[in-house]
Amino acid sequence: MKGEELIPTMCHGCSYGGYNCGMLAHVKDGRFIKVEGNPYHPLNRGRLCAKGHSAVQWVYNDQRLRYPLVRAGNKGEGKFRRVSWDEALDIIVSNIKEIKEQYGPEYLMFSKGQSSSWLGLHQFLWVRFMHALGSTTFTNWGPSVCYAPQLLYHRQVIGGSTYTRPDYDNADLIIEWFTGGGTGGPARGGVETLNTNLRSVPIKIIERIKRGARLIIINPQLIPLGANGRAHKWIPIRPGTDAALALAMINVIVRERIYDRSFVLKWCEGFENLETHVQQYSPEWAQEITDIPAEDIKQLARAYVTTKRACIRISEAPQKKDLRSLAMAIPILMAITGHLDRPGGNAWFFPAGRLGFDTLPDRISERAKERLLGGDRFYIRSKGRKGAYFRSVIQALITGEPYRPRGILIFGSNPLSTARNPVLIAEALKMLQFVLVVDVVPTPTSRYADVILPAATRYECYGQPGLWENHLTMSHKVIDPLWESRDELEVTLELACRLGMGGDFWNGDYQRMVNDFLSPVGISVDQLKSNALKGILLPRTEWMDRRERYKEVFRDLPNGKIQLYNEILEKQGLEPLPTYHGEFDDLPDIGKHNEKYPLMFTDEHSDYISHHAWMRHIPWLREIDRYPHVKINPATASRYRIQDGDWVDIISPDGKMKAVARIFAGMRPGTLIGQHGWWQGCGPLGLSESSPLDGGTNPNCLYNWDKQDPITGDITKNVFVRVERGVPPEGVPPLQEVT
Amino acid sequence: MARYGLFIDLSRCIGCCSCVVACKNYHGIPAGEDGRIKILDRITGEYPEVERWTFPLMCMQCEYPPCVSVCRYNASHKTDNGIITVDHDKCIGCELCTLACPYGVRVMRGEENVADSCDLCLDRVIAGEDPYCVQACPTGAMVFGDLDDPESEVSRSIRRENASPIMEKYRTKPKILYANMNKRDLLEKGIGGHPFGNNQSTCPQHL
Repeated sequence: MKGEELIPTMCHGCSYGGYNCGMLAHVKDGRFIKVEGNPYHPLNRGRLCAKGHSAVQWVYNDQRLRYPLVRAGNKGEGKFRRVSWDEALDIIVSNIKEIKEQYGPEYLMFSKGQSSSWLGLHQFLWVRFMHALGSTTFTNWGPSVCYAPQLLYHRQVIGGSTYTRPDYDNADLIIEWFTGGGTGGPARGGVETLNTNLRSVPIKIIERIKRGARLIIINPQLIPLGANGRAHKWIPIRPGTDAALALAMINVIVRERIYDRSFVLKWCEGFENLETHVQQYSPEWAQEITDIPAEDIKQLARAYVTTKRACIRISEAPQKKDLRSLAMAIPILMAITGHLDRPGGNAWFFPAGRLGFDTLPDRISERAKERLLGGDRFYIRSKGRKGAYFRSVIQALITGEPYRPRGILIFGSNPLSTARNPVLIAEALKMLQFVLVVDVVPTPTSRYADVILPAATRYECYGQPGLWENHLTMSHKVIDPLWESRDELEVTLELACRLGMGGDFWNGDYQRMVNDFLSPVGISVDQLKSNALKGILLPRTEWMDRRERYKEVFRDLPNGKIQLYNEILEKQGLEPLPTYHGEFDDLPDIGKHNEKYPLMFTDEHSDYISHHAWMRHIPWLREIDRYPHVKINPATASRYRIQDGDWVDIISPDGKMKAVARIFAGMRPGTLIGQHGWWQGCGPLGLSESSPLDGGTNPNCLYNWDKQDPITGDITKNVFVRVERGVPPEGVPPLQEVT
Repeated sequence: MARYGLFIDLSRCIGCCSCVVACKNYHGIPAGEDGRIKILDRITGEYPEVERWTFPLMCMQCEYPPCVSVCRYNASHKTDNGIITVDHDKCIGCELCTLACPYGVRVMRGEENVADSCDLCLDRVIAGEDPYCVQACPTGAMVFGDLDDPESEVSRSIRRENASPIMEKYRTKPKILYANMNKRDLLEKGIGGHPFGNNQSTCPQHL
């Protein structure tokens, strides 16, 4: 088009590790007007999903924070006063200094969200920032319910530094186990940093199906990936009973002696213990628990074993309270069937290099190390005591034991929506002397802030490099930051300089910082800028493409072998074998003895048109799904006289939420599936914000805070509820500005 | 002259609405207004023998377009390359075409209340590019091209996958052809009718 400039950049629809789909931003007369996929970007090959296509509405949005604000009312009240950047930064600096000097660096905490990516430049800078202050209290409030806990067990059982990922490109049998099945970021070919349900690879799966691969969906609902005749089989499992299925599969495989004997002999330890242990988990036993016919379980196990190239994707764990049995059973299943790190199985995918700079861990004060909240826990120790234990942080804030942290810096995180028990989180936030929230839009969490800073969107920022496999590229600034918003990284550098730490922070020189971040792969910002469209392909390493890397990956396991009987856990006094405990105390009598709460509720993650707790304020996306929904089978709905589109109240013993009923025949009867992250309003569609607190629109209110995995503290995502017709939630007024 | 059409492989459609939003972004159609393409989401059968179908629906680019036949102002017209489009300057907003369209995809738009529907991104087609939804689709479910050229990718795809139009009973000879839509009869029920009076969803019901 005439007068349009095309700027290659990266999408910010969903963000992991700084590497996302490539896009071409159209700019006309200084205005960002539309986007298209970058055809040279190997991840999305010129295509984009709905979230990517709505980028301009993310940038030009009436909800954007425009200038710095300081609190002018009580915490949570939502009254703020506009201040200058200078004034805001002065307040932040004086609070950081005061907390550090009066109490100690460990009294200062940091929390970041997914919006600013994991493991990318943002994380490196902020970890370095905290370390330079002498603190180690880097706490993320979301992962207590997310992916990280699963990774712990994966690594304890089969080693490796990351989760294994399905090698879809070579698979003949694909098992999608409680995944969104590509409902997050469908244009992505599968970027790898974390294995949550964003591992969305519909095109890869479809290409394999076209070549004769079979797709099996294990999920209480028929996900879109399984639509249009694609699912070879849909196994509607009773939610939260997935470990029973996995253990019964192991039972079948062991009893029928169809496991990979040579692999087990050479690379596994404790097979005899496992064999004895799983005798109790027969398919008939699992049928009662999972509601899947025993014969189907046997067939599933046999299909998985007898298909040489078979992979499993189990993303964000459907069991949380009893995460342990599931997250141990799955890698065991992959291992004993010989599907580990082999073509078409579950393999480790490593990039051609690592980006990053020194995070100055030697600056952490001894005192802060000793006093790390929850630092004595196995989970935290196993991660090198790099961050505090979420539950310990909340407990410390509420009870003051062992000490009450004084301040927190929150960048792009919204625990009031994403963490369990938002009422408790709100109480915890109130206990802090100083809360900073930096975000693109005001969040429920920001109502508890003392200072709110307006972050620029990625399209307004200088640029962040990202590396996927061997493709290195960078997001580029599309337009200057709108209003008074600023790049979070630039703000962090300025804070560091104002705190007198400029020497450790490139004296505020942004480009030098990015060059430092790129230095491990020997590429400079200038090189990336001159290759903006295509990026740079680093040489592939032999290690990336090799398979069966058992010797190296298992190196850190006892005797270099997979722990079918887990000695590491045993030494900690923990169960060495996957033992089924279940999410509930009263299975398998579901529905029979629970008249007050007869239905099972669980929730799902992001979908095609949202990402966790954000993007629901984007009109083009929100009009597709206007209200927080709960999916109900038609028979179940009619029993409670609920019709499609009715507002309903969902009530558990622990709390209440509201949602709009969606009658869906692809749901298991007796089961409700809601979705987390609903709080935003959408002005152009006349939709107001709703509360994430009890009685609002947040599934996290329904779950019992104390039903947690004993090691990781992962909190259950399954609960018995009842459903009643209700009225819409009350709107929450926007932040109020006082002068 | 070319005769442009689309091949849609439903075994590739995951109902993700990327085409829906891409179209709105490309053509600058605000939220709250009907777009030029929608995704239908249908369930057939009863639990647990359920099948789910998602599929895009837009102007069928009929060879014998009722919307053109009924237009008394030559606003709704067929271009030389066979693409149906609306000349907004000529449209007086009588809405007759919206009633005539058997697929229910002609809508009224904007304060001027003019008729509008998908024209396969005519400006892009003239410039030698694919319609924007075709380029956008994350799973490559759509192929655009010249139906008269037997060697074009679209013609080859149609032959290979045995694609055909939906609701041929209206005898308008659509140039949008669907493949791998196994429950055609069931799914065709409920498509069509007046766009203001029916219950078509713009988007999937059950993301």
